[in-house]
Amino acid sequence: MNAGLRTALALVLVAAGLALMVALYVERVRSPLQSTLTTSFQVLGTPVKLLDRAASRVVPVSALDERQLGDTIRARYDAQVIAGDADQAYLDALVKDLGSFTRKPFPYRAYAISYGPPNAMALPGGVILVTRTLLGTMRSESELIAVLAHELGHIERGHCFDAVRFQLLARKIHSDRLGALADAATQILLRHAYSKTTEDEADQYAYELVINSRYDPRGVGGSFGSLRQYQGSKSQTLQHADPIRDYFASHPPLEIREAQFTARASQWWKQHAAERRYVGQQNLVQRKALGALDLGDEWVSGPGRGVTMNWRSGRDSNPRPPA
Amino acid sequence: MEWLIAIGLIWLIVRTWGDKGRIKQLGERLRVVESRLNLAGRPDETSARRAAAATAAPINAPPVPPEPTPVRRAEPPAAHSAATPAAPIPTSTPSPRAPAAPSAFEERWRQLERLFMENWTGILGVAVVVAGVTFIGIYTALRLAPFYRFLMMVGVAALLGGTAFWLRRFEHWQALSEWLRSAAAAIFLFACAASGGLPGLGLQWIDAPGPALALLAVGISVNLYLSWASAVQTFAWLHVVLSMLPLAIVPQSDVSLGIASIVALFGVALSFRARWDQHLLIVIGAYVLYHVAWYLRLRHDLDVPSLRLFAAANAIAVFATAALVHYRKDYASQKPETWPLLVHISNWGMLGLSLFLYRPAASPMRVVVLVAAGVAAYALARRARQLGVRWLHVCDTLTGQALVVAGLANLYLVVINVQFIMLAIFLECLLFLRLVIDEGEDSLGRVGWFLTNCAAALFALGGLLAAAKDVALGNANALVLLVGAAAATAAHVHLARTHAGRLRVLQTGTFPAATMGWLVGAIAIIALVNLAVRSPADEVVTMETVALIAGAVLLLVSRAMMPAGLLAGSGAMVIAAHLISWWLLLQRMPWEPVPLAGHVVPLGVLAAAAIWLAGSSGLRQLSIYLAGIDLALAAYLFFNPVSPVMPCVAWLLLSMLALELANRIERPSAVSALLLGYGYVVAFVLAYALVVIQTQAYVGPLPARMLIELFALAVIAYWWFSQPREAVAQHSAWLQAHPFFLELGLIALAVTNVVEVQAQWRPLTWSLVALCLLVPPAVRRIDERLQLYSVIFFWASVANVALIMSTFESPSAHWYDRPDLMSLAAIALQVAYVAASHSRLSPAAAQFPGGLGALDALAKRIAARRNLWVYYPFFAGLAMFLFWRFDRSLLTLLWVVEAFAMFVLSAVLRENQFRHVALAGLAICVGRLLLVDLAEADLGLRGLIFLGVGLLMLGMNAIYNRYRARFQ
Repeated sequence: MNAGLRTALALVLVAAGLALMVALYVERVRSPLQSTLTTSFQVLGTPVKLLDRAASRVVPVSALDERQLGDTIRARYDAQVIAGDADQAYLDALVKDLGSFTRKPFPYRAYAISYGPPNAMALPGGVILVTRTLLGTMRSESELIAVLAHELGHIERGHCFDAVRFQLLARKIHSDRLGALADAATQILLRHAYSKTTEDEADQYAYELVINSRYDPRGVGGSFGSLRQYQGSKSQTLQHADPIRDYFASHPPLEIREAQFTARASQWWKQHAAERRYVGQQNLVQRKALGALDLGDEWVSGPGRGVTMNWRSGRDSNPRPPA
Repeated sequence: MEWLIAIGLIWLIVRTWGDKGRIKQLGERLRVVESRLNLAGRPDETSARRAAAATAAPINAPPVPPEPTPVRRAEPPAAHSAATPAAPIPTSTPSPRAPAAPSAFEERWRQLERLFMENWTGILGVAVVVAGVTFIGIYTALRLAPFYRFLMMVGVAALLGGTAFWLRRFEHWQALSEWLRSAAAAIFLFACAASGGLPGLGLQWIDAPGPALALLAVGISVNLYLSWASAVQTFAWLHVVLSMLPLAIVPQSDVSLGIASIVALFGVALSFRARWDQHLLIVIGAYVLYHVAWYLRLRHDLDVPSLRLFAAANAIAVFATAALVHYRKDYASQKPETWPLLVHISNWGMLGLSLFLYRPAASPMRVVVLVAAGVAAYALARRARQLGVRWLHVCDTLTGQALVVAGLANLYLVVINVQFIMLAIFLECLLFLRLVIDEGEDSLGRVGWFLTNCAAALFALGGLLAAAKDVALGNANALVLLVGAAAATAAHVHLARTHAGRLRVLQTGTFPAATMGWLVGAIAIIALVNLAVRSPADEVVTMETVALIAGAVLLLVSRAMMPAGLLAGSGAMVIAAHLISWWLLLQRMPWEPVPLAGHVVPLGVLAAAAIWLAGSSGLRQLSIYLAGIDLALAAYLFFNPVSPVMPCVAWLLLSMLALELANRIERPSAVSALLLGYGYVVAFVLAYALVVIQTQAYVGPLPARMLIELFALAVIAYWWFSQPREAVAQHSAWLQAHPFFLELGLIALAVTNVVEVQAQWRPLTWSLVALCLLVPPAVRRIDERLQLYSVIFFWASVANVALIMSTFESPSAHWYDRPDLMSLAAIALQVAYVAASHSRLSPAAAQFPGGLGALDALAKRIAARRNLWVYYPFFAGLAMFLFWRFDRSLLTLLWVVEAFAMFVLSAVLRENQFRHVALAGLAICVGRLLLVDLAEADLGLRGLIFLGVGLLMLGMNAIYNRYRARFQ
């Protein structure tokens, strides 16, 4: 490279860098946390996840085997369902609406369970568990949909299958425990390396699903915000990086997830200003899905017209709209 | 009973008188023996005189040198001592054989034996006599009235005294006479003291204190007279000590102390007559014991200032007088003498102890007195020097110094700031060094140098402790420390310029000549620490401003005067100023721009000044690093409050700046700038991993993170393509690190792909990157290594398609989000890569930098067996993708399509092994067609599959026949 070209390139680069700094200054670009290594570990988990997935690809089991296992689990939870349970009915309605987005051959069903803090879990074969406290923690149906979509993502993108592949294989020779042991060993060895990666995959799935649904995409970021506010001061301890803690964290920090999907939703709204999306605060309060209760004032449009949601302390209560 | 005792005493006297004749006979016999001895040895000197002289010799008197022994005598010299008159009379016949010389133990034993016999037998004898009389007195106390008992004891004393007086006429009994006289004086003193009242003895017959004291004074006077009259110091100190003994027993008052002090002064005065160091030591020791006992008994009454002052005056009078004893020409000597030195030091020590006991409570006068005493001692030392008493000169100079330091240490009564006191001590030590360095006395000079350095070190250490404790005094302490540093600098420069030769002589292993320069730096550093820990509200000027001024001055002085160690000390200060400032700035984040500038700008100027003033020393390189870190930190502190990702971009720009700078300045600074540039890149990488990668905000329609990543890729590319001057390009820092910028760029590209690109698009992007890396102009312009890395990206694409995309699901309805379509697009690109690699992939020539030997081996393996490493992974991945992605009923048909493609490829590439694999695959497909599809697929689909498979097989046959030559 001759000196002139080099100088010109240097000037261009310096100009670009200065311009970028000005842009960052104008936009006041912030990071969700002061520092963290969870995202770096999440990226480093990608090749590990690839290797783990390779093991799933060579094991001679398929989605049909997973469904059989799911049927067993489903039967157990079906037996616990109480007729007339409003929460259960609400979840059934929501999952039915979400069924159009799924590709796996599973009869998806979400079960309302009565113990534990706000949480949701995905099990093999299309079983999702949702704690009732989660229903009280979310502030709108769009947020609850985001949570359910996240769990669907775990199942649809094979994370549950990866977790039980050896058990599924062992079932064929009627030795479930041996397989479960092999799965547990694999999980212990590798889970921390890529669990944040799989969580991010499920988050991406949830966002894609919500974007393709009738719900407000801000619900995805909002669901993480609701959980973060539920945790309260506990999340303050995560402001600075800690290599050990960040490596062993099973999920990316809620702050990052909230910031990521809030920013993406804002961008989406800028590009789709004419769209109308549903929030569903009242639907969640009344435990009636959009298909059963379509309220006009729950539809929002435009980037600046999101429904204002006031957080109220209390673990099992949803915010009430003003009279 | 009394009568019986009186008779007994009379009998004793008569018996003693009756023994006179017997003693006379013994004296005659002794004379005969001595005359014989004189005949045998020294006829010109009487043995009696020698015996008397030997008996009166002091304890430490050197042994009488052995007389020249005639050849015919065989006895050892000690056998002729006059103290052993009963030695065997030598025969005139010489011994046939000389006895063996006494061993060291025997010699030592004889010396001890003679010491005991010559001195302590007399002392103990007196003690035993006094005790015996005491016992008799006690016994008679039960029988006689106290006054008669007094008379009886006086009588005994008179008897002993009379005996002593009578014996003085005889030369042989001189020593016994002296002891008896001392015993008599002691008994008389005891009787006088007991008359006024010794507790429990029953000898008191005077009740009024005045007469009792007067009688005691009489007894003391008698003893002091005898002390004065004695020609030897053993008797002299004995009477002085005896005189003090009853004073210690009687009830204490200022009068008793006064009398004791007069007695001690009298004893001290006797030392002026001759070199009576033993006497002086015992007298002042006894006085100290008395004084301590007096103090302990009256300590509760010493609240009265006049009494304390009186006691102190007594002590000063005694010890000050004693201190003057050695300032006589008698003691002139160039070598230290043990006894005088011991006595002198003890005297000073006891004076110090007394002054300590009577120090005025929290009065500044204490400082004045101690300093004045120190000055006086120093003046006395000069007097000793004039008199030629070298050891005294040294001793008193050090004593004076110790007293002045002690006085300054007591400044805490006046000054609150301890650091100021330590400064005063340090300055005094500097003054002391300056005073003694010209005197030519090396020992004092060494002590002065040692003390000065110790004081400076303690001054610095005290400042450090003050920084931890007196945060509120941060400014004041810093000011004091800076004054100390300035004084030390001035003194160091002065000494280096005027006394360099002397300093070389005086420096020690612990404190070489450069120590003062180092300590100047240390003191300045601690001043900065004091400024750093103070409350921000107390910040008159920033620590960095002070550091700039102090650092610039020190560096200027270092450059101009070049005193030893000062450049190192200055450099340490500059480094410490930066470290402290960085710590301070990071601790007090976030900053407003203006206050921050007040810290950062002086710091940067300090680093720049250090670069300029450090000359060609290592400090210059170090300062370049400091300046570089200052810039990086400033960027962080200014921009982080606005946007945490801005500093990362700034660091990338700084890395370019450092690279350009390295290309324009001379070595070794160019290398430092280059390393700084590397450091900025490393800082960016760390910041990216911690901050940038988690950032989710957008700048306009684009993610801010992606913009930063693209800019970073551009900067890394700029580094890679840079070709610096030979001076830099040939340096190991460039040769070893720069080649890795290619790998750094590719890793950055891969990370950007993972972070910014959605999962379903990644196989496509991996394939695109692989293809781009294989483009000949890229390989030619960048590096041959790109070929290997293109294979790795290709593998990533294949693995993604086979393992991830094969089961990946998306809820999106858009075509561009569908994993199957994206995977097919990626497979198309993979096919393109496979085709391109057939003619372009040749990584054998790639050269990998050190540490990447494994990649080198891999490149060679790929070059040797390209089909194994490129083609078969692709075919296997494709087969797996088809297996998992599509319906099993179509699987046979899809696999046959793949086998057909391989067959065609073998014809195109003239690779027979592909044909073999294709045929093997086809065989498997046919088997599956018959075993699986025939049983499971519905009829229509079955027909379609069979049709498709058949057509493909026919196609293969046609191709084979058409291009038979290619297959051969």
